[in-house]
Formats: sequence, C-alpha cells, structure tokens
Amino acid sequence: MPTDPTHDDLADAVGAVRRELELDGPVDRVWERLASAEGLGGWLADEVLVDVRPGAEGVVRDGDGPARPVRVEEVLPGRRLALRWTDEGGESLVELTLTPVPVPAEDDDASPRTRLVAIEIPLGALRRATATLAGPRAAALAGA
Amino acid sequence: MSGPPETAPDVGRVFAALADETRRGVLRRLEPGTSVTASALAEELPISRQAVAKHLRALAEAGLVTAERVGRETRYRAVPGGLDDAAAWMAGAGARWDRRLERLRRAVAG
Repeated sequence: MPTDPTHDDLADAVGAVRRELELDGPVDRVWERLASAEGLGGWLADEVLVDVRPGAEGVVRDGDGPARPVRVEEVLPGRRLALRWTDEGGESLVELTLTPVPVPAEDDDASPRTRLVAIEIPLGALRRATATLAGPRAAALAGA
Repeated sequence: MSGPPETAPDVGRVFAALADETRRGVLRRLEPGTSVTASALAEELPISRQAVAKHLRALAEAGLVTAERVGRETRYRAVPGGLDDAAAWMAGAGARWDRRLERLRRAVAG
C-alpha cells in the first residue's frame, strides 16, 4: 500500500533497488536510530562521517573498502532522508522514507510500528526516469 | 561533489538506455554472435528503420551494442556480457541493503 507516490515513481525506474520493511516502534524513535548523526553510523556503513543536514558532504566506508563520498540531499525529520553517494556502480541516489503502520481501530493494545522504504537508484537511471515518471522533485535530486 | 572513480562502470547509463520498452525490444532481437542491419531489424518490428537506427545508436552509447561498417552497410551486434555490470550492481546493491537494513533492525530493537 504505497502512502507516498514518489516511492513508486522512483522504484519503478529501470535499475532501482527497493527494500521495504516494518520496524518496531513509533516513527520518531525509528527516525532517531535511522537518521540522527549517531544513529546513521550504527547501520549505514562501518564508518559514517557526515552531518545530517541538507547539503552536508562527507564520506562513508565499509571494512577495508575505499572512502566513498556522500552528500545529504534531503532531510525531512521523521519522514525522509535522501543521500547521494558513489558506490561500485558509479553515483546513485538513496532515499529512505518512514511512514507509520496503520493500527486497526479495534486493536487498542497494538504497539506502534513503522514502515521503511529504502530505494537506491543509479543517477543515470534517475535522470532518465525524471523525463517520464518521477516529476520535479526527482529532477532536483538528480541534479538534472 | 566529485564523480565516481574512473574504474567504476556507469551502470546508470546502461539502465537509462534500457528504460525504453521499444529499445529493450530492439536489444532482444540481436542474437548472440550475429550482426544485423537496422533495415533488417525494422522488418521485424513495428517501427521505422530510422527509429531502429536511433535506438541502436543509444544502445551503442551505453556500451551494449557495437556498430561496424561492412561495405555500404552498418551492421550491429550485441556486446557479449554487456548487461553483466548492471546486473551485478543490482544484485550487489540488493545484498548490501539487506545487510544494512538488518543492522538497522537490530539497532531499532536494541
């Protein structure tokens, strides 16, 4: 059930990698683990040196791998983080979006859960997609 | 920001070339090991020779097709393994996301 059409726009592009999962906890808590400067270093890569603010540039590194440049494109607290980085395939855009998982009205005791959609798309593919399906926001992210 | 390392394949270029359904159809028609002209392909497809030639040029720019002059003809041939880097990137990127998201799941649970 897509709650934000921009996901599927980007994910429909040829070459997009998309993952979706549900995490325990309310959106605010998941956001803290996902996207605070401290939280980001706990999962995105072995080493993460970048501020979480739009336009910030830094590096990420895994194991003995090279330091890869990363740039923060978009920060909507509790909602979305978008990054641009260089990996084995060239430059790509990463988009991480959180939405609360709806709780059935009759289920008062349900603990809150949060859906995360992670999309990575090579920049060349994103630029091509902006012409057809992804709209102005994607065009801005692609730096077209 | 700086671009990718010079050795990195630009898989985005390949995916961009494949984004067009008609162009994928042109690529599918190229049989391994054989070359073909735009005119011959156009007879099998519901598009003009000019349109076929345009798609073939786009595929060539993405490194998926090579063109060679034979007499007065231009003959096109699929590059063996032309899609390998792009397929490997998708598989690798998917596996890397699975690992990252498992770390995130543990961090959120902890």
